[in-house]
This record gives sequence, C-alpha cells and structure tokens, in this order.
Amino acid sequence: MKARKRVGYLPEQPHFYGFLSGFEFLKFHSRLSKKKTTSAEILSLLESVQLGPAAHRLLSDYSKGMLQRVGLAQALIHCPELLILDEPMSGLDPDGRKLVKDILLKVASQGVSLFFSTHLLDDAENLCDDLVLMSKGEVRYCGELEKAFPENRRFFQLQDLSGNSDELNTLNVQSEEEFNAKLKELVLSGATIRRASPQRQSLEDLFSEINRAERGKT
Amino acid sequence: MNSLVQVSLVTFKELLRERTLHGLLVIFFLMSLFSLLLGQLSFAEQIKMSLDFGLSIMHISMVGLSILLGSQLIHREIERKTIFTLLVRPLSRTQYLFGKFFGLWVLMFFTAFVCAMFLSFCLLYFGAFYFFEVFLSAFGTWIECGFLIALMSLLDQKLRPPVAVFCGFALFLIGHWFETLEHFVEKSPGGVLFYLHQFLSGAFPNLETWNWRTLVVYQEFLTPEDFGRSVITGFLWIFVYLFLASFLFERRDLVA
Repeated sequence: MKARKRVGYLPEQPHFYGFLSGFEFLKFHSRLSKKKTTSAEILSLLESVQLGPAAHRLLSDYSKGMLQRVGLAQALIHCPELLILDEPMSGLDPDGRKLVKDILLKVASQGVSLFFSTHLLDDAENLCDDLVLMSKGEVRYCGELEKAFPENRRFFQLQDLSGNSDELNTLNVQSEEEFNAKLKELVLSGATIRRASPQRQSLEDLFSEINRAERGKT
Repeated sequence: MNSLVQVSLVTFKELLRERTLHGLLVIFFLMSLFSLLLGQLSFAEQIKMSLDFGLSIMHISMVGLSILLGSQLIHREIERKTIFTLLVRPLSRTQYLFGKFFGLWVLMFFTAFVCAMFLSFCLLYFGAFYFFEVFLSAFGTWIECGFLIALMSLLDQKLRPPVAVFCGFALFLIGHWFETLEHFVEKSPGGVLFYLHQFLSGAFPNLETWNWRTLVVYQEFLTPEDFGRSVITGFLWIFVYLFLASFLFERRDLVA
C-alpha cells in the first residue's frame, strides 16, 4: 500500500467513469490516494494538461486526446515518484503527441522517474535515457539509449555542399577530427554549407537491424 | 475507510443513471397503481388486496434490481477496464468490493424508501394509513436485497453475468422455498433431497426470515425480539457472503 502511494499509472486506452467531470474525476483519485488536494491544485493540474476549460465537462464528452491527458493528470495527482505509462502516445494526433511528450519531459525534469512502453520508437528516442528493446517476447537490448548505437554508426553530416538546392548533397564523416578537417577544407574552397551536425542511426533503424540479425541467426 | 466511502459514493452516482433502475421503478409505479385498481375489484378487503399486491411488486422489483445490478457490479468494471486505475491506488481489493457493495445497497435503501413512500401515499389516497406496515416490509426486503447483492458479488467472481443472474434467481427461489423443501425431506427421508436440504440449510439463509409482507398484510404480530434477531441474522449472512466474495476477489486474475 505504501509503495502504491508513490506510483502513478496510466493504462493503454484508458477508460474512465464517463458520468464524472474531469474535476470530479481527479478529486476522486486524489481522495483514493489519501492525499489532501485543494480545488485550486486540481484546477491547476488540469490547466497544466490544457484541460482547464473542460474541467467541469463530463468525461463522456472528452475526445481521446483529452482522455489521455486527464489520465495523465490522474496519474500525477498524488505527486508520484514513479510514473508507469502504457503506450501513452498511441492513437493521438501529432499535436496531442507533442503535448503529452512536453508534459512528460516537464514531469521528468521535476525528478519523477518515467517508465513507459511504446511502439513509437521515435518517442522513445526523444524521451528516454535508458531503454529495453524487445522483440517477439525477448529482450534484444537493455541499457542506456546512447550506448545502444555502435560507435561506427555515429557520424557527422555536412549538407548541401555545392550550394545547389535542387540537388542536395550530403557528406558523412565518421570522426570529429575528420569532420573538422573536411569542414575547413570545404569552407576554404568556397562551398556553401547549409547544415553541419552530428548524426547517428535512428532507433527504428537499429531495431530493424537487430531483428534482421536475429532472423539471420535462425 | 475513506477510500471505501469514496468508491461507494461513485458507485451510487453511477448506478443512479442505470436504465435498469429507471425501468424497474417505472414498472413498480405502474403496477402499484394497477394494484389499487385490482383492490377495487374485490368486494371485501380492498385495501388488504392492494397492500399485498403492492408490497409483492415492491419486493419483486427490488430483488430484480439487486440481482441484475449486483451481477454487473465488478464484472463491468473489469470489462470496461475502469478498475485498473483504481486498484493501483492505495486501495485493497476488499475495500473496493465492499465499496461497490455499499454503493448498491445504499441505492437499494433509497429505492425502498421511494417505493414505500409511493405505495403508502397511494393507499392513503384511499383512506388507509399503512405507513408503518409498508416501511417495515420495505426494510425486510432491503435486508434481503443486501444478502442477494452479496450473493451476486460472490457468483460474479466465478460466473459470467447471465449465468450469475440465472443462478441468483434460482437461489432466490430456493431461499424462499425452504419450508417446502423441508416438507419434501420429511416425506422422503434419506434421499438426495435430504443431503441437499442439509447443505442448503447450512450454507444458505431462509429468505422468508425477512419476508414480513404476510405479517403486515394480515396484521400479525412481529415481536421486537424476532425483528432484532432477523436483522442481526441478515447482517451476519451478508458479511459471510461478502467475505467469501472478497476472498475470491483477492485471488482473482483480473487480466485473464
């Protein structure tokens, strides 16, 4: 019971009591969590998930994105130390996803540990410090996100070297030294450089590669 | 305790919107009015006939509500997945089950009150003041409803709602036919019926214990001792069945 007071949880496709308003719903959950929360605190939490104007509307009138956000608010109502979320961004439109992502980043910056499952690897890449990659019920990788990528898969990218925007030229170099030398050389030769940035393989690419490798083994 | 009250309040609020409740209440109101008309057909004892029929309709409506709503009490929460965000709170399954039970039982209390009020005023319209009798009978029915809700909470742990409803009604009938069963056992001792009777009388209450309709209609005397004994027995049976239900609920795999 003590541990439960420190955990917030949001299930995938949350179903809540449609006959309660957003405000009543959070009040109910705050009381179940045995936390004294004032009406002002509940309204402020609803504001933080951009549901202030809908605070007194019935949950049955909420859209999927709104339900996801009120679900997030109920998971946060008792100021948990650990937040467990099941597919928090699935089925949301791009705006909704961005909002949920921003809320999660804000919560994480306040010292709350986030633990969530997702099929959207882009989100995982943006939000996680550590990850567990699973495929067909087996763990394929467990550890820090940055260490998931092999050293030789990180590279530096120089884009639009010729200044011809119709044909985008990209040059990839492996090391920082090589990148600096190449950049200097190109600037001196008068090339237009639109973009120069460190890059690495995406998590989706890495995941596909791991799966391919596994299939190859079998 | 506070969590239990919170769950009860939300359950009460939720069940107030139930169509089954509205439907059965409408049927009760119509049938009560019909019972008054029926009384007019009788040459003598018009009021007694109306009272008897009205109380029976109230009993059937409330029992029907308890069995139908009781069978869905937990099952629907699992099906709609609303239970999962609640059970991660510092709330035990037993507290949750008791909260759901009390939510429905309190609703049945208000339903009994409204029905008894309506019936009493209908009878008053014909010049008969039967408030005490009607409320006493409604109270007995309310205790029986409490037992039936606890029974349905128990059946809900192992059976799907339609099967649970069927079993609930069957056990309700058995509970009211204990004396008939006893009579058959006396006539054929030693048979399967004997063991069935032995088992049922140990594991199931005689629901006629809280049937005060006949006493009320024929103005027979219910002593305070009998009344107190019946109420205490009722509460004991309710808690025994609730604890059995919570024992199963604590061990139930909600995801499977």
